[in-house]
Amino acid sequence: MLTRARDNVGVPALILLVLLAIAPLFVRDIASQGILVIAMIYAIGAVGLDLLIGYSGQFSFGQFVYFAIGAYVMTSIRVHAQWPWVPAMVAGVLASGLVATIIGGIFVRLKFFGAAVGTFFLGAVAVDLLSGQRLAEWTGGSNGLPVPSASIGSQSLMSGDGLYYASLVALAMSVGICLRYTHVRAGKAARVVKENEIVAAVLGIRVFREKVRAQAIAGVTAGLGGCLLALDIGYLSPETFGVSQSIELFAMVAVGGTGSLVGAILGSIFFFSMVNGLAETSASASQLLFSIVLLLVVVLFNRGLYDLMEQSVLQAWRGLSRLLPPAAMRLAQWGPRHRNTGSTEAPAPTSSAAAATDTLVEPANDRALPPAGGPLLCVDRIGVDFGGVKALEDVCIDVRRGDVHAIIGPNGAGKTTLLNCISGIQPITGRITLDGTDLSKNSVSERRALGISRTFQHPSLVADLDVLHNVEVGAYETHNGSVTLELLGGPTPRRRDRTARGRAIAALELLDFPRQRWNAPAGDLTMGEQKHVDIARAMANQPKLLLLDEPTSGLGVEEMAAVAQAIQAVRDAGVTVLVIAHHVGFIRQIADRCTVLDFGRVLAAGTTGDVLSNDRVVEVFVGAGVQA
Amino acid sequence: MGLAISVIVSGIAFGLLIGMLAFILVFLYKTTGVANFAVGNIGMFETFVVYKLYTSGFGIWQAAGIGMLCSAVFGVLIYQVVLRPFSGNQANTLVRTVALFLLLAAMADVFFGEHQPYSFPSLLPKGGATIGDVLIQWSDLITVAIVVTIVAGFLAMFRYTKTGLQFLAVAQRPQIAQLLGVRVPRLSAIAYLLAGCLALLIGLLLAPKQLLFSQVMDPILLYAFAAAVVGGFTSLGGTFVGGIIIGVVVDLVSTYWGGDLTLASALGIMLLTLAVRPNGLFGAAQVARL
Repeated sequence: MLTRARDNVGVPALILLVLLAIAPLFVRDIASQGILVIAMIYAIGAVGLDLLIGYSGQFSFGQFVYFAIGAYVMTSIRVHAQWPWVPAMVAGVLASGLVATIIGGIFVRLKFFGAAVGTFFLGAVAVDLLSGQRLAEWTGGSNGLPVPSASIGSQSLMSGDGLYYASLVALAMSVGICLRYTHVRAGKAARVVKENEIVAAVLGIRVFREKVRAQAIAGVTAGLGGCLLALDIGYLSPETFGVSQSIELFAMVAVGGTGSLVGAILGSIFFFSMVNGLAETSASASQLLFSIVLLLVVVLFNRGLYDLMEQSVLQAWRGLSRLLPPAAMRLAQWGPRHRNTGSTEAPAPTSSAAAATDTLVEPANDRALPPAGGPLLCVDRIGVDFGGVKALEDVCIDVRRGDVHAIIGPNGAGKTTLLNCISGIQPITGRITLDGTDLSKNSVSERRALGISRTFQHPSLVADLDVLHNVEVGAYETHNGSVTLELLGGPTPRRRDRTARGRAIAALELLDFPRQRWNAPAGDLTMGEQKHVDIARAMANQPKLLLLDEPTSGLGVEEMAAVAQAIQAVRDAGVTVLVIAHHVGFIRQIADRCTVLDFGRVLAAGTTGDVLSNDRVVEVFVGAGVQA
Repeated sequence: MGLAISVIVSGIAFGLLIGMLAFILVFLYKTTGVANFAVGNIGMFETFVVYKLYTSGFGIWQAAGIGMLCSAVFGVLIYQVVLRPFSGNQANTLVRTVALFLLLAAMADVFFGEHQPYSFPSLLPKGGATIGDVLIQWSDLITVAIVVTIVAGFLAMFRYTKTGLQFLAVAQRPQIAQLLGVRVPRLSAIAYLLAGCLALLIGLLLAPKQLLFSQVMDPILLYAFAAAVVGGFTSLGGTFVGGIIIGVVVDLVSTYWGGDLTLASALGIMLLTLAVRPNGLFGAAQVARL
């Protein structure tokens, strides 16, 4: 249902808008043009809703409230304050954006389900307020409000060509804003939030802020849609903005396929064609058909109309390119590229890995001495209590500057919990100091700014962004700043983007990630490649301390060697590494020092060689009674 | 003062019905993992079926009886045909319940709804008793008695029957229950069977007061969500406490401040609960392994 968000919808969007622009030449009758108009108007807000659902991973079953705000604010201002329609429309759009920010700020604190229910509620409450007595002076109560006329010169915007092209322009604006958002940093950060909020927080992303931003943009587009809707229907009444309209808007986005922006427009056109196509029978019969189709689509074709269309276009393209002579074939290379074909195949990691195993034969202890200075990280008697289960108890670890320090131990020993404590996700008793600074008062993003980066057992890359963009997201020093400036392309955001890109490229080169794979979508990578990219993403922040959570689990021998090589490169760059791993051979290769955890307590600590020949350690790993 | 107490009493009865719908919501959530947006409309549609039987000549009690049997089948049908096939992730199932919500409303409109709203005959005696200056309706008292009996029945089922124990297991740890041999699809079907019947019961008790039309259960559904949140979405018992709170507040607000603020006040209580006690009065915090 929450399909992959797409990055390459700019051209399809343009094609669809052009088709809509020339449609009146072929679609002559007023009724059909009317269908397109109302479809485009709903689509203005549906595109924003798709941004919210498909790109930012939130739910809203009450989006039509913002249509209502846009429509009522614009009309009310025109009726009571006699403003001309342009500033009134701007006021309507800003008002809905503002309310969306406030309400969104409340609802994003709820978990996904709470937001779904809350927004559903909101739609119902709004209808009550609109038709009730309290706001009747502004809204006309249940009697409604007539919409004053609007025109450009002699062309009325409330009917005919004027209305058609006004709606099309508004739709183009909405699509433009949403597309732009998906291309700037804020849009990419929102997609990391959609993937995994905790990983996003660890990368320095302000999760709450990005979610509210998506809400605000969705609210703004809905407000614009509401203003156009007011012009279309000419008379505002509370029934126009009910709960079912919110659900229908959601349904359009679902049927069209979430995460594609264009799909929302397709869904809207589909819905209105079907509903009006059966208007002769009865309104409720067409509602019935719509809900049956919606159900069928959600059960059977849950990837949506856009995906269906994309597949058929690709099939046609492939069929066509097979029939054409070779010269035209080369031309066909420029055509639409499905992400699973083309030159982005994963090469076998054999050649580089073979070289890696040769160079890693010498044990780590023979290296040159690490730089002087006290330990970089001091974990001082920390404890973690999960209501009776002591995940960590009295744990002390000193990580020396420039070391690769391994944490090993059986499952459930508390290793990941230890990393969670250091990165700030897990509250503790005890003290952790980095370079002499006590970290107790520092939040997750503050610790990142101080130079701690980490990877996770499950990489949580954004599947539909390519490798380079995934690493870039981790390369921003801060994720603060105004989203409006970003959308407009101001100099500060652009400079920041360039810096981030530079750091991302440097990280990928340091870790020797093959360049031909930099443009592959992360969802297409093998597990080994994903872990590799995860390390690059953590390194893009140029940290002092890198925490690696089981970088080798689930990998084959060659991939493990590649990770070992990556860790070597990281250490050679002067970064201290704290790594959790299960593979003893791997540990022997790369780790200088080792700490063994068992049931939340430190069992042994020291150089790798000493620890791994310690009898108690061997017993814990292999079992008692092992003959020497 | 007498008015306030009368309103509170009828609010409690109303609240228990809300609580029952909330109970269905939480019960289905705990056994199938998804909150079902369509539970209200399932009840609405089944009530329409009973009404149709009644206007075709059956007595109201016979119609209700036949309706109850049909509802049991209907509940299972909904699970097997709409929710179970190709069931994937939570978001997809949630959207299916939303689609079902729309579908049931449309079906009611098309098949039954030409002259709605209809006046629905009451199964319970009219009139009431007056104690001092407090008016207590018989229908309210009987409603309370019915709900209490049903709750007792459920408690007995959970405590003394094997199926009830399996329900509790699935509600706590669905995968482990499955590994231990509990047939989860069968349990879900039973859960939906019970949900279908309870939904009809709620409809039969509410329709006489609210008139019967296709949106009759929309506000009730919202109140039920609020009640479930207040009670704590993981607590089956809490739903009734939450329901009583919501029911009393809504009735008081409706009497003293006007009907247009009822939904807003329920929403306000829900948000207040989420702000102050995010797990509701009786719910348990959800913990996940990173």
